[in-house]
Amino acid sequence: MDLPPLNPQYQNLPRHSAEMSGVSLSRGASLLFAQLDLDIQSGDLLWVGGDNGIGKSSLLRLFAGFSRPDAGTITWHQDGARCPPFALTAYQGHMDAFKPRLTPREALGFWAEIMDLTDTSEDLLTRVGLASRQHVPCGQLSAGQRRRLSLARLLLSGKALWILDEPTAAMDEAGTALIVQLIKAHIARGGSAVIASHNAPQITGERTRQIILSAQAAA
Amino acid sequence: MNALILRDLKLAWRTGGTWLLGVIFFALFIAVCVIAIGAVPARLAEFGPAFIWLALLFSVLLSFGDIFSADLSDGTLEQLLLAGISPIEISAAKAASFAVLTLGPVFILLPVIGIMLGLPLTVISGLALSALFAAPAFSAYGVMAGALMAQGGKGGFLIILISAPFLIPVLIFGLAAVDSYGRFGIGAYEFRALAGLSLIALAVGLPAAAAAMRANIE
Repeated sequence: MDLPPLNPQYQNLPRHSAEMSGVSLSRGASLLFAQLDLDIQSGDLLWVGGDNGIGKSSLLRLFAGFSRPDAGTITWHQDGARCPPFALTAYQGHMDAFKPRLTPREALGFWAEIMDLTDTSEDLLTRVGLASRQHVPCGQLSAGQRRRLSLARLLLSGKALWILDEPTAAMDEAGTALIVQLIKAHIARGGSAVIASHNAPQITGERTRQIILSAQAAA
Repeated sequence: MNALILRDLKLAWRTGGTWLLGVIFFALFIAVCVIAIGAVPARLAEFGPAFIWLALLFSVLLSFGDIFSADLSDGTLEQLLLAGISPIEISAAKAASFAVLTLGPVFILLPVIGIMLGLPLTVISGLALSALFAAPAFSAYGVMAGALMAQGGKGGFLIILISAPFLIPVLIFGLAAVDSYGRFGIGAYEFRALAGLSLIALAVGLPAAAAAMRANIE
């Protein structure tokens, strides 16, 4: 499957990094992880594995900048200077933030306006294979199609660090291949990604790492 | 921010009239009150303004729960933060769309109800103006209560208990303003008090809503 080159708006990604040092996080009485050191830079791909409920999503939300750790620090850098997390991160979790009554075109148009970007939704919807569904309300899309729409927003955002929580859930084979292809292209452009998945990594390479979270003794 | 307000209006339009429930409740509440006191014109003139203010208060209270719950539960708030929109901007946009969608229709219906109850024109103008002065307070405390209670979508009674203490002063001065309007016009002290309450509400309610939103997302 060959796709047209991306809109120049998204071509160049800044040099960036996200660093966790000595991070601990607990949920209720159970410790999810303690003294965790992780760093991710332009071109890196980090797979986070582990059983259900082990804290993959919590780790991702820390990386995305939504939550703060109980101990330790997380810093984000862009072009050598510290930056707020949301300047860098794009997050795709279990909730996709698409309103059932808006069409994919309208939804992407809205997000483009919110992010202050040119609306390239037609191009993006073609890339993720939703061109024929662009005027169907999101409420009538299948789970996999909504996932594809999330990917389109991810591309739209032009962010450098992608945080993806189980991106292949509800995806068919072609969809999984699309994700792999998009991630590879993103990495090739100097982007980076943190991906939580209970499957084995679908992409390997020297800049690819995997960490497996395992149960911790309660503190 | 404008994009967010416009989207809320568009969604409300497509959701086929649920945004009108507040104003329908407003009319229904007054109708029930009129039946309860027996539709005697003298009594209507005496209690009419109080009924209208109570109806206004209850219709906004019941609408608070919907302000944030959908956007929190489907991840929209998260994506808005990622897009670089600050929580306070989101609160302000939500307050604006609440004012247009919930308060707007009530304000349009209010003079009509006043005429139907046979209230004198000065009382109707006093009512409309006092409600207008109180509108920022309703919106700001609305987003505050809505953001506090958005988690789990449990609005209901708790949201009313949380917001009531903030809205009761507004009710007191709102009714006093209607009273004074006949004698002193818009310059009455009660209108200044209402404006003051509204300003306090904006200064307290919007940052509180922003903080609650952050806590909900974490």
